[in-house]
Amino acid sequence: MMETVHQSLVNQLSEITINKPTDIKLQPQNGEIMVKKGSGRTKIRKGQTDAEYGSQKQQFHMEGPMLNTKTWLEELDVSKIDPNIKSDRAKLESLTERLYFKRDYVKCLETTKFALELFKDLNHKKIKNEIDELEYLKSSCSKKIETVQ
Amino acid sequence: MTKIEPRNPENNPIRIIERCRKEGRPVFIAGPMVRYSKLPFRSLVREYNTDLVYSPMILAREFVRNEFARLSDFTTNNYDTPLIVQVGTNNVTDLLRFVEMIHPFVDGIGINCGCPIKEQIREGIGAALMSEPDLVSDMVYAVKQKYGDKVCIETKIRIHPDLNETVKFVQKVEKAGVDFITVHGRTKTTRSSQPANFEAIKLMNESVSVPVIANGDCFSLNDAYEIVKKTKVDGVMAVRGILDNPALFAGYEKAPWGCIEKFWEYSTSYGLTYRLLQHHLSCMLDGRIPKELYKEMMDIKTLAQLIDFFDNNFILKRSNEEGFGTGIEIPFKTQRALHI
Repeated sequence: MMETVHQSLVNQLSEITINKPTDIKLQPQNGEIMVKKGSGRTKIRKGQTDAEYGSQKQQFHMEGPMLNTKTWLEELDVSKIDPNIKSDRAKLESLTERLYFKRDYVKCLETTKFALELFKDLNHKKIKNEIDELEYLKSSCSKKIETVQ
Repeated sequence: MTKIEPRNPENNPIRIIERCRKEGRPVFIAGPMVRYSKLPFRSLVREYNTDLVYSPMILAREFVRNEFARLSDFTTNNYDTPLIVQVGTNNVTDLLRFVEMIHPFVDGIGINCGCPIKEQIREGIGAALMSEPDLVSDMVYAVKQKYGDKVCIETKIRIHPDLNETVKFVQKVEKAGVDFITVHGRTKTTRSSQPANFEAIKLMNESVSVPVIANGDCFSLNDAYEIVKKTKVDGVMAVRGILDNPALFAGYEKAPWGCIEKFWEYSTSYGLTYRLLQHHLSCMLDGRIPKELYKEMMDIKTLAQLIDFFDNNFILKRSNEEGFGTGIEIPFKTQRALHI
């Protein structure tokens, strides 16, 4: 019983909703702050400890911001694409679009087929737009290559 | 792997303002737009006489806590300069951490005190800060204390219904060490259909000695010069106007076709979410192509289909083709399309 009550308190502490903001002491040095909800009640946004910030800072210091050069998409190592990560799928999709825009239909078709194969085990209902576009590219590239030949 | 180069001190916004003063002309600025001031658009407007470019507002709280937020909110490259990153924040700690992380990759940092979106105001961000002059001053002071001239800090504000309150506000942030101030000539509840109050901007400019930039109702190069004439400020920021016409500061009345070609090139090489690309193109082409063609464009669901739509209806040159990026009028392919 005590454990259940304790867990419940822990859960509540992640985003406390209170009626009397003056009852709560904030820790502004951690970025903890009180904000208003649409209902007029007050909510505390959790702070960030020095250790948590330190690890974020270190990651950003090591890797830096995302650099998008004019050729970054075409230089992608597609073998490292994880189909379960949305941003990875988006990179591969952007690459197919870039190749299609450049009218490099042979390479676009090859990349599109690779993407369709990579995404085949994913839930297609959840990524319908992505699959629709890849199917469109596959069909359109094939037709354009045939026309040229 | 490409590495980001150190910032060029000549691209510090204050140096740019000084340079423009010497040249006897205002500074031309593309303001921050939620969602739309992404890397391809920033690169585009720099090709058309825009001196300073803002990023969309980035929430400090998310940026310092979440790697995915950083990846989705901030992409850049070595040509993405001069750049001011706009930050949405409501406390000194998040701001200092944000500045520490991002300042090596930008030329200036602007605190958003003007965003009227109610979700942000509830969080104490954006225009909510117009009621918190002490907090804004504390934030500016904390950054300047830590970084001095190494970090250029700006505040973008709106005016209050009582202009005396705004005068006190700008004087307070000036005392805290702000490098320059952008004033949007509307209150947080004034609709954009109402004209901007340039008298108020002029008053703010007279109330401080740091440079002031005017924001509101700049839809052409002529507007920019008229605004400077009315307000005597150092520069003009365009937002809605430059979204419709990214070549505004180069004197074009409407987005020239070459600008649309360049936008395609930047968007597909740097990468841009389809809906954002479609929205930009719809702003640039609204009222300039037949309604049924415009509707057809807006109904398209994928970027690949949009490429085909453009190639079927217009002559869209690629960067390796002669004449790329130089056209002015829309080069329709069909007679049908000639009737707007």
